[in-house]
Amino acid sequence: MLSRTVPLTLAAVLVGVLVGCTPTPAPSVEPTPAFSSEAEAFAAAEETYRAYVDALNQVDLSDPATFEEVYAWTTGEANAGARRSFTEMAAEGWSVSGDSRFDHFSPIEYDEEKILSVVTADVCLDVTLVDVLDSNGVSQVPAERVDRQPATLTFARQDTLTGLVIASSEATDAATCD
Amino acid sequence: MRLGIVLAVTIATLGLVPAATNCGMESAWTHCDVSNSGTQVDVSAGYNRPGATRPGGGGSDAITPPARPAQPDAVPAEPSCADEDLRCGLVVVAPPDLTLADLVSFRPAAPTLTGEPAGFGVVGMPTNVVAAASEQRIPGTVLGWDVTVRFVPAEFVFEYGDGSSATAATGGASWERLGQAQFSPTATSHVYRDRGTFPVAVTVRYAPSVDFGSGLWRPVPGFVSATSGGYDVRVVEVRTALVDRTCQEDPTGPGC
Repeated sequence: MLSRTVPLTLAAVLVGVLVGCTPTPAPSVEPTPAFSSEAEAFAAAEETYRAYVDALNQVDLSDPATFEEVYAWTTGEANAGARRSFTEMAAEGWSVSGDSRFDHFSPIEYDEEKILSVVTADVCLDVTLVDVLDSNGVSQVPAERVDRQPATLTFARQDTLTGLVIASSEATDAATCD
Repeated sequence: MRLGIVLAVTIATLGLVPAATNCGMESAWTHCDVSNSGTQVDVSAGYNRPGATRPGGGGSDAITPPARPAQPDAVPAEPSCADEDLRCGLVVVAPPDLTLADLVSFRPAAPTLTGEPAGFGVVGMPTNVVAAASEQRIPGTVLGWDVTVRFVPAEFVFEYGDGSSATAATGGASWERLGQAQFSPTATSHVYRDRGTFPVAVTVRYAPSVDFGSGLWRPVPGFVSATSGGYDVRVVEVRTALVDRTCQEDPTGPGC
């Protein structure tokens, strides 16, 4: 005798996967170890400056991803300045060619107590080989550009490979490049 | 004039003066101006709104002495103030009125975008979409001033990918967090009328304001937008039917 029982089966099953809204954890700030000596701090600052120059030489104004490394080596005013320059040049459709060169690094001061200017140093920004062209290939470098521009840098403590980033960079008329 | 002077006093007290010439190497590519080394600071046409009041803003009508650069330059040569040049003695500094164009180098982060059911929706039923963006404070320099720019999410504009969009004051929340049943309507949910895959995007309109170091947030007119996409919703139809056997029992049955 065949059972006449009709099994009722609900066929369609809707699976709803609920995604919770988990907040991203705030990045923890780890204290950077202090430098054991002035010489060590100056060496770290020079290395930071070299890394910054290297990062600049990787910049392709048409590819904002290449700006990030420069941003990573700067903070505060220097970072804002870089962001503004890159944004403006990229918006204008400009391109850059030739390398910026490390020229000179003269440490001036190391002060452990100062947060934004742990190290101060004079450098010479050598942009002799650099040309900046607009979208028509016309150079945007004015005749009065100083190919080797003396500048004073300050460095701030930050959790980078060197423990420092560039906090400010101010053009001077010191004799650093002479 | 009073407000401008009050602000200048505040700024001078805090020692926050505009750093006149930032010159990174990328600036040197074209040209850097050498920072001047005297007591001269920029005089800015002002933040002097007639009728503007400041709570408790007593202040003084005395003329402020010129602010000095925070870090003296390497060149000590100071212009002599012996001459009749009024700029030597009397300089009033007030923060400039900013526009969105001045904030071009400040970019708020893009919002996050998700939804539920994750990546799915059902025709005729609300599909919940949730965006998140938080207030951001970005330090930097504007027109030579050290500032902090604050972006506060003001509006969320959802584009649901089927041609419809909605504006919400918040980014919405999950059904669970809202304490609502699944597939119930929320402030940010959307009902799709047809099957298909729809790319959803959200634009957050941030209201910017700027602090010149005085602790006073000065709003900048307009909004700065940041958009996120990349969230596709596959909208399906759901039908129920009575069948004789389960798909396991009869893999060739209807709907199996």
